[in-house]
Amino acid sequence: MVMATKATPLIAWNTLAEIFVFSLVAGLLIVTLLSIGTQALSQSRRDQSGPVRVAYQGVVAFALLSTAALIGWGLYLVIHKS
Amino acid sequence: MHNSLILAIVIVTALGFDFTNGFHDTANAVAPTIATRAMPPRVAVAMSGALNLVGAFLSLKVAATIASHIVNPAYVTLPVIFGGLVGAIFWNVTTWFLRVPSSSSHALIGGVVGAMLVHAGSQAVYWHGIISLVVAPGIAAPIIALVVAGTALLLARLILRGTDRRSLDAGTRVGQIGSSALLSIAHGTNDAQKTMGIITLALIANGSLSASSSTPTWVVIVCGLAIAGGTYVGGWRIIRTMGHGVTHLSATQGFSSQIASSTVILSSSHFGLPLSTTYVATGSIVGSGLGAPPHLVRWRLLGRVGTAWIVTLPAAGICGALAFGLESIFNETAGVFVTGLALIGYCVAVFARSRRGAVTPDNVNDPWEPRVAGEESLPPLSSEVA
Repeated sequence: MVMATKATPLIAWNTLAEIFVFSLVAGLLIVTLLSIGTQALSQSRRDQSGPVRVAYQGVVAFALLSTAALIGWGLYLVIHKS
Repeated sequence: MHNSLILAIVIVTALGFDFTNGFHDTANAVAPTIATRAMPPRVAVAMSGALNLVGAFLSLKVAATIASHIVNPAYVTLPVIFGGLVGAIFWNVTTWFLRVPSSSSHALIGGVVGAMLVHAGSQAVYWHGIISLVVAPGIAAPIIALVVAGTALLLARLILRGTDRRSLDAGTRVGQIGSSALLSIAHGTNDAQKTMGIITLALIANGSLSASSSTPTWVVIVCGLAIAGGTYVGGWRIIRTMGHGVTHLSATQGFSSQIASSTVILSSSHFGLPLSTTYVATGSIVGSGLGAPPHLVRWRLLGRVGTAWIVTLPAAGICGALAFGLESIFNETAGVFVTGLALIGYCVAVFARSRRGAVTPDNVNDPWEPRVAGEESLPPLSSEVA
């Protein structure tokens, strides 16, 4: 929690900018991962040939695991920074 | 004896505020999830309630309360806390009845400041803290969320082009459920702690705890249960406004707005300037509405929401001041009783009135009917496009 003392700027522009950049990067990363996973799922359902299908499923698994890792990291932030 | 009685009433009122905070803010975590049918309404609020409870136990680092940076703790008395809580509950119940999402935290801060102004005057209020911790973040929150959600939606639509419907539903559902869960935990952690802080402050003001004491375990438990119970009851009126009133949400839009909300909230916690979940969630939904064809939102309804945001702090302040003024007419105990009874009477009347045209889990996803004169009608969603 930011202490509201005389030393604190009236508007914490730097903190707001950090929040914006951090959330934009994290949000786009999660959206990209899940969207790629969704697209790969869609392709794997279309392509019935074995190796290609397995490769697409690997992409789906990677996207899900990466997203889970990012969400776990978010949870870590909630626990340790709030 | 009479101090213990007042303390008990303050604690019960604080838990009442925590409950209204839960049902008022349910929409922030689950409105898009319910509106896009990623989860059934009852399951969504049950999950959110349970995770709010989990969140309440995760951290106690801000239980010292934001209020201590807004008003001078040396002037805090039990009647001031009570007046502030009454003002905050009054405003929360009113905005819930009007189906308007507004910040419970701002209502609490407004209520406490209003009561403090009547009690000790302007010197007991940290105006610098109000601008730096409440007003500035309140303006920035929806703008940041809007830009993040809009950008995320553009990217998602680009990558998801050509995806079949079944895969699209599966993928966006994973994202929405995950981000709903994250938002619920973050809400339980941040908002339950505000009430824990208020109760701890009341215990200290009463001399039941020393100023250096940490939050007692029973306070953590009851606060967690109160916010979880409120969330489970579900503020369906506000869920409906956010899920269907602001704009039509497709699965991709709901997915983008939920992820944007959770990353903005968690980032703000990480950088030590927690933003209002209500403002962030609303900004994200607007960003999703504007980021995809037909690029439309209901501006008149948003104007009403924006007006409520602007007046929340002063209105809750006036309510808090009036509540403290009413208490002061009588002696301390009688004043608290009379003010408490007035609040209960108001809540019962509002609840009874809300039964007419009630929003329930069964009709929360019905087609939107304009409630404001001249409100824009939006074209129905075309078949889902990425």
